[in-house]
Formats: sequence, C-alpha cells, structure tokens
Amino acid sequence: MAAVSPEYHMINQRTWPCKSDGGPRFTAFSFVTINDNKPRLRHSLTNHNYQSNQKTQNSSDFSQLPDDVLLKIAATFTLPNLRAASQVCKSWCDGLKPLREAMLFLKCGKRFKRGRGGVKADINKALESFLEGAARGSTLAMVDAGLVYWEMGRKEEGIAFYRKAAVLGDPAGQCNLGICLLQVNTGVNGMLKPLSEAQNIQCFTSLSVRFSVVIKAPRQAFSCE
Amino acid sequence: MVKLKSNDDKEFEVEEAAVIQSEMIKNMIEDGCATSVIPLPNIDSKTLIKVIEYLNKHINMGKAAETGEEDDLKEFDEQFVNMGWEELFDVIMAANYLNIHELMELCCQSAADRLKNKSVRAVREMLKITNDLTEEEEQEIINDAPWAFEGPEIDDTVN
Repeated sequence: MAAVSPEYHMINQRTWPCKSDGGPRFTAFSFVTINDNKPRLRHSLTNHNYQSNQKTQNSSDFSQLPDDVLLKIAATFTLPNLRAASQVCKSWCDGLKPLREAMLFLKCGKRFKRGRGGVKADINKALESFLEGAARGSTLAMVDAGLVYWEMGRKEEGIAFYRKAAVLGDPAGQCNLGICLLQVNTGVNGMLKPLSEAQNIQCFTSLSVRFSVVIKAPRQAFSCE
Repeated sequence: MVKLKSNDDKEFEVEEAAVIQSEMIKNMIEDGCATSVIPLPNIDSKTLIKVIEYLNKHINMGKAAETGEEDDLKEFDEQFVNMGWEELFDVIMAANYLNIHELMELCCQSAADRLKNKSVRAVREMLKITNDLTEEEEQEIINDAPWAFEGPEIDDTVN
C-alpha cells in the first residue's frame, strides 16, 4: 500500500475502453510465428470478457464504483466501518486510502488537543491535523476542526466546517450546525433564520425533526469526540 | 419540455424546471446544446424513470417549506431510496453522471446507512463483491495502519 503512487491510482481506475497493453497487436509480423499467436488470443479474450462484463454486470458491480462516489458514501464512516470497507476488495481498498489517512490525522489531532500519548497539548497543531483530515474528506475530522474553530472564537470558520460535514450527512455536524446557528441568531427569530439557512443546504429536508433533537440533547450533540 | 433518451432508445419528456436540477443538462441547455433529444448512453430506461420521478417530485423544493410539504418530501425520499442494492447502484451512477447533487447525497446517505456497522464479510455478501485481495495484500492493509485494526468487531449479519 505504501508504494501506491498517484499514477498507479490512475491506471487502476477502470475506464472504457480499457487501456491497450501496447502488446502483440502492434508487433510487426506477430501472426507469423505460432508463439506469438498465444498472447494475441489472450488479448482478444480479455477484451471480450470485459465487454460482456460491462453488459451483464454493470448494474450491480459495486466494486466498480468511482472513487469519488465511494469516498462520498464513506465520508461519515467511523473507524470500524472504514476498516471493514477497506478490506472488501482491491478497488475499495485503494479508493478509501485518503479516508484511512484522515483517520490517522484525526487520531493525531485528538492527541494534540488533549495532550495525550506523550505529546504536549497544542491547539494549533491539533487544528492543523484536523484540517488535514478534513481535506481528505472525513466528516469526523470536519466536525472536530469546526469544534476547534468554534472554541477559538472563529465562529464563521467553525460553522463552515459544520456545514460541510452536515451536507455530507454527518449527524454530529448537522446537530452542531443547528446549535451554532441558533446561538448566532439569538432572539425571537432565532429559530426562523437557521431554518431558512439550513434549507439552502437542502440536504436535510427533516429540519423540524433535527432541531427538536438538537434542543432536547444539546450536550450529547457536542460530545462528538 | 426537454427530451431525454435512454440507452435502450426510449424517449422521455421532462419539464425544464425539473430537469435543470441536473447540472450536466442545465449546462447543456445554457450552452444551447439541448435543442433536440439529449441522449444518455449510460442510463437505461428503468433507471431514468426513477430519476425523472425524483426530479419531478423535487421540482418545487424551495417552495415546499413554505407550503408545509416538507414532511411529504421527506417521506417521498425515504420511499425512494427503499430499493435493492442493484437499483441503488444504477441510480447512484446516473445521479453521478447527470450531476444531480441532492439525489447523489440522498443515495450515498442511504448506502452509507446500510453499510454502517457491517463486517467485511457482510458487505461483500450484500453487494455481491468477490474478494480480489490476496492474503499478502490484506496483511499489507493491516500493516499500513495497525492501530486501525484495534477495537470491537462489528455486525456480521446481512440485511
């Protein structure tokens, strides 16, 4: 895994038509000798197989999911889920690599935040780690980055990260976003403004439900670490 | 009205207001490339019908909140993603191709919810994925991040 380069990644992404191996087909006089016939045959066979695969299996082959879709699905995964998904098959394993790295940054960030595991507590380093994790697409890291920003008083940036996580379907992100927006827009209209704001996100159509959850259990919502 | 053609040569008429939820088609219309039928070579008619059903329902997304139809829409979404894995895969691929942001979120969320807390074996079985990792490769994944393999085992059941 450690040796996987971006180029490898690109090659491994399945596309149609499949890449020519530049092999026997382009060799002059290849059909003259009997030996050369073998790879020729194999080449056309694999080609054919691929084609029939496309036709019969394209509707159900989840191992062919594009990496960006896979990352979107797994964005909210916690460690055990991510671990399981990574072991499913080769393309998932390769596709989920950024999220596994994000988990590492997340773990690192938590150490820095609390000063555990032999490191001194350093909120800036913690934030740095969380941002790295967030950049790799993990909503867990986004929520933690948002939390740090919020605690630092950089509320706008905090909200931006909660929003990012919320759009990707992270429940902690959605709750925290709701709470923050309620706090920012205090007053009688406090409820209305976040409602319309959150509608812009459009991913949650069940706002009334979410907000009642927020109000009932604000402490739980914040304990996302 | 915009005409869409699936890869099995069936044509569908969709209101422009509905179809522009697809970024791809929206761009085509803006660029003036959508004067006749838009062929969709990656989508079969069965999937396209599903997608159009979604687009038509979400046509007035912004207005839904004012008229109190939000719950209705939520219920529709829940019903909509209540489909088998194969169908879900088709819809995800179509949504990805057409670049329909919300449909993508909805389907990915549904897939994520179904996969959560499932073991490797269960995921493979549910999605009918054959394991193409060799033992060495599996070990390599573990060696790559050994700390990630601590912790409790998870649900092995398939449903």
